[in-house]
Amino acid sequence: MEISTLMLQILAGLSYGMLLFMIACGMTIIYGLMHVMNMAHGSFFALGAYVTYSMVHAKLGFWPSLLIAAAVVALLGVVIERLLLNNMYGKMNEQVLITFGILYVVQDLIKWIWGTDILTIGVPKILNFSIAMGDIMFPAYRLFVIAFGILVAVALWYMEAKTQTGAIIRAGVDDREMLGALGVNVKLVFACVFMFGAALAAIGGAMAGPILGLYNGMDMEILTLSLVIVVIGGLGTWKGTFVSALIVGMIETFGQVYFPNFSMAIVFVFMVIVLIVKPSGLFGKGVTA
Amino acid sequence: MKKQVIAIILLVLMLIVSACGNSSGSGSSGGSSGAASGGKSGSGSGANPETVKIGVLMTLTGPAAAIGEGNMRGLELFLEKHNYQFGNKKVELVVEDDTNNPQIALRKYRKLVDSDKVSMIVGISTSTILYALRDQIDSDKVVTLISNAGANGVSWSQKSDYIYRISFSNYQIGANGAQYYVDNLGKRIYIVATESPTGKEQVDSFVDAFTKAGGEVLKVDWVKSGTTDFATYMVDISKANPDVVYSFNTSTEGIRFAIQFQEFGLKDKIPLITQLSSDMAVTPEIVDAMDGTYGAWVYAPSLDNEANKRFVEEYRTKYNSDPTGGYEVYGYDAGQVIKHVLENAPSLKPEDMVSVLKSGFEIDSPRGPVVIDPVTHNPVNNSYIQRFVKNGDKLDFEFLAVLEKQSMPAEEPAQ
Repeated sequence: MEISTLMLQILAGLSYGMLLFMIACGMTIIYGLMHVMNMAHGSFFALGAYVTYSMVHAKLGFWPSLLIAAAVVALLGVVIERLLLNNMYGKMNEQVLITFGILYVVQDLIKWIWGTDILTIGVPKILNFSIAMGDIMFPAYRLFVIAFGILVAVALWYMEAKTQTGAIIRAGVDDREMLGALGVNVKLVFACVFMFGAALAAIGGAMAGPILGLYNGMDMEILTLSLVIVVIGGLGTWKGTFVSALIVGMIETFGQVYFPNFSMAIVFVFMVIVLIVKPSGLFGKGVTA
Repeated sequence: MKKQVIAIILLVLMLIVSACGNSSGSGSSGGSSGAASGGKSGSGSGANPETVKIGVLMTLTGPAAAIGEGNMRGLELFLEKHNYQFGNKKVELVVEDDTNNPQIALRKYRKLVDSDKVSMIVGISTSTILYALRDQIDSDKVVTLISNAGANGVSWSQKSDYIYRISFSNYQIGANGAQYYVDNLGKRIYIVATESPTGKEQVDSFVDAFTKAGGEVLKVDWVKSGTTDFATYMVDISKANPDVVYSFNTSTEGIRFAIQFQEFGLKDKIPLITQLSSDMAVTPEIVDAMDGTYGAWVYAPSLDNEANKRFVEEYRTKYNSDPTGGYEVYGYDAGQVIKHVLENAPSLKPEDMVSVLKSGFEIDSPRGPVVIDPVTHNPVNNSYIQRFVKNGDKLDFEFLAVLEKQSMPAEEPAQ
């Protein structure tokens, strides 16, 4: 395999991995702080994409549509968190059931509102060109996705390490009760974090639109991958999610080409190996009792 | 005690609801739901009309519902046109939904044959169901007219004296257009296909037909359903430098492939053949990607023949929209076959109906003249090569050629 083919595949894998990162990191942050396993995260992803589609269809332009979609989904996230999850903190089974229920309901809602046809979102005009790489023209949009993913990762790192909000969240992950005892409005923090996670997933969905297309079942597919990524990377650490999302993105992309029958299996096998060797995930801190 | 009573009531309610849900074909097609055992009976013209029960076993709900729904619309359109009566025989449809589940299909089949005692069965939407039922049908000697499923087996090694097809075979869909492509687009072809049993049959058929027509298949790349990135395939295609590329990918992958084919700069250099249909062109990006691609079809609503003009008129009058493609036509043609059989068979005994089905009669289908081949039990029909042309934000057809009398070989080609 030549260098240029390898480069192209790596880039393709990286851009896919970045999309996965954006969704999975929302899930892991929510879990890390609130100990909520949000199965409806896939729905946020799908809704982000579909709402963007509708806005674009209404001639709003890609970027405004993306922001509107993120806002809408964030709002939905807050509503879900305040109304439904509020009473379920600590009760993992109930959380899983209810968020799974939301996943199914939203899936049908999407079918009802947007139908079952496969839809697409066009690549935003500024990025709608291809760069010549060897024999092939590589779409610039994918490079943008990689760049954006890195930007999000850097922003998260900065926020976590250098800002007070980050400090509060880190403290909350370590010891939630103490945080409350210190006078921080834990409910507000929870709501904001949930909203942030949802918005990030929606942005991921909107950005994925031009690459993956919009189709029924995208929420389930992405949910499965996100769960795997979060588990491999370590629950609660977004750094772990970053690394594992990229790894899984690469495995999926390379696997699809060289082992089409097994690519999903390879991802799961990798997950099993990681769990055997390091049960808390690559960067995980160990399971709290 | 009270709790038990409530539980029992709930249980009974559940059973009732699920029974109701199952036996009526739900879906948006015109009056077919709830028409379980009451077909529409019109005023008969003959004395003492004899009622013929015909079982309809199709997929009417679930992801594959479009098949059954389309078939039903076509079938009901034709039957209604004739008031559900041919000569002195009144047709009564018994409609069952198999939800594309072989277990359910078997159950419904048994119900149709044993308790409804239908004289023939029409339908069978997918090859999965077809293979699940084939042996039963053959041993029960129930005359069956397939209005969709394309599995090649029932024309070759799994042929049955009682199974006939009015739709198409995967061989035909696969091999469709091969000669035209070799003569007009190029001899060296690169194929990318979504892995599935149907896909395999179609690709094998195409490769067989293409090579026999003088072409060379450079490579066949099998792609998993759900593949998101075709970047590597684009690189491989670019390196192989074929004259033509055929994307045997369907639905999501098909659209993604076409879009990425354009994104990666290949569309301007190499002609692309796809299996996408115009009803999938619902967004500007898809229209753009499909513009200029080739395809070979058995039917298009814009076909210019008398039978089709009539069919489209009738369809519009009854359903207030245009037919979208094959499914409705297969249903309509199934109606035509039923008419021919009921008018010409000496009796409703399987052997008598089979003798008519095997007689090589021609029907005037909206697709052009169609004959059921006595050897393969499969329709012999025209194939229309066409190219998509962008027209504003819609996709139009440009007809390039008609290949006549397309059929399939009498035996499975050696691999």
